[in-house]
Amino acid sequence: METRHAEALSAFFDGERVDAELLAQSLAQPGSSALLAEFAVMRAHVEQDACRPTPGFLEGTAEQVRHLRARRSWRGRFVKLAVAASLLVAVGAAGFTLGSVAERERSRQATHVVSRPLSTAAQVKTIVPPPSTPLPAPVVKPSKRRSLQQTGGPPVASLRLRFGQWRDLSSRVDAEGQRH
Amino acid sequence: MAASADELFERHALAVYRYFRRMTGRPDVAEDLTQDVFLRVVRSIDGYQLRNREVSWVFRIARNVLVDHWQKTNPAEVAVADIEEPAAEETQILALGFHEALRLLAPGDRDVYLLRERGGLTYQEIAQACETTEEAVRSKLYRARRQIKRLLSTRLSAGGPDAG
Repeated sequence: METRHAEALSAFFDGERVDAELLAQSLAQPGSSALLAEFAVMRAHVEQDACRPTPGFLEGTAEQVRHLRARRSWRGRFVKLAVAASLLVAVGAAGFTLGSVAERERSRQATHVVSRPLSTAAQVKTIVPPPSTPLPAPVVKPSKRRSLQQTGGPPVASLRLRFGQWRDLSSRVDAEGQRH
Repeated sequence: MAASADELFERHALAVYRYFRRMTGRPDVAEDLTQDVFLRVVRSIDGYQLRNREVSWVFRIARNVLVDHWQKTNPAEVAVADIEEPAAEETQILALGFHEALRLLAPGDRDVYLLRERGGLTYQEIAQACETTEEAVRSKLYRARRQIKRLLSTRLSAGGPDAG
C-alpha cells in the first residue's frame, strides 16, 4: 500500500476530512481493513493505559489549584477596586483642574476689562467732579446721648456748641446789635 | 460559560499526567509537570477563549510545559515506562510491547501521537500546538502508527519484550 493511501486511512480513522476519491482508492487497497483494525488495537492500548500518579497527588494538586485560584480571585478584586478608586481620583482631579483653569480664565478676563484704557471723556468725567456737587458737610461727632436722638428726643448734640464757637457766635450777635 | 480551573483539573488532570508519563517515562517528572500545567492554567484562564476546545487549550499548555522541560533535559532520554500490572499475561506482554514501542518513537512523533490518542486533539489543534502544518501532523501520525505496529510485531514474534 502506498504511503498516501495509508495516511488517508489513518486520517479517516481519526475522523479527519479526507478527499473522497483518495479515500475510496485507499479503502480499495489490499490490507486496508487490516490496517484500520491495527489502528483500533493501538488506540485500545492507549485507552487501557491505567497508570496513575502516587496516591494523594491529584487531591494535593487540586487543593493547590483551588488555593491559587482563590488568591488570584481576591487579588483580581483588589486590582479592580484600586483601578476604580484611581479613576475616581483622576476624574476628581481633572474636574478640579478644569474648574481652576476656568476660574483663572474668568478672573483674567475680568481684569482685562477693568484695565482697559478709558476714553478721555470718561476720564474727565470721572476725575473732575461736577460743579453742582455739594461740598462735604462738616463732620459732627455723635454725642454720648445718642440714644435720645434715636428715640426722638431733642437734638441736644447738634445744638450744643463748643465754648469757642459759642463765644464767636455771641460776639457776632453783639456786634450785629451794636451795628443796628 | 468557560470552565473554572478546578473543573479543568478534574476533567483533564489524569489525561495530562498520562501524556507526561508516556512522554518522559518518569512518574515523578510527570507529576511535577502536571502540577506545573494546572498552575499555569489558573494563571492564564482569564485569557482562555471559548472558541477553543478546553482540552486543546490544556494540552497546548501541557506541550509548552514539556518543551520547557526538554530544554533542561535531553528528550531522547526516556526511561522505560513502568506500567501497572495487567491481569492477564497476554495483555501484559501486549501492553509492555506497546509502551516499549512508544518509548522508541522519535520524540516529535511520540508527541503528536499522544496528543492525538491521549489528548484527543484534532489535526488542526495538534498543528497549532506543535507549530506545524496539518499535513505534517498527518504524516507524523501515520509514521508513528507504522513504527508502533512494526515494533509490536517484532516483540510479539520474538516472544515478549524481554526476549529481544
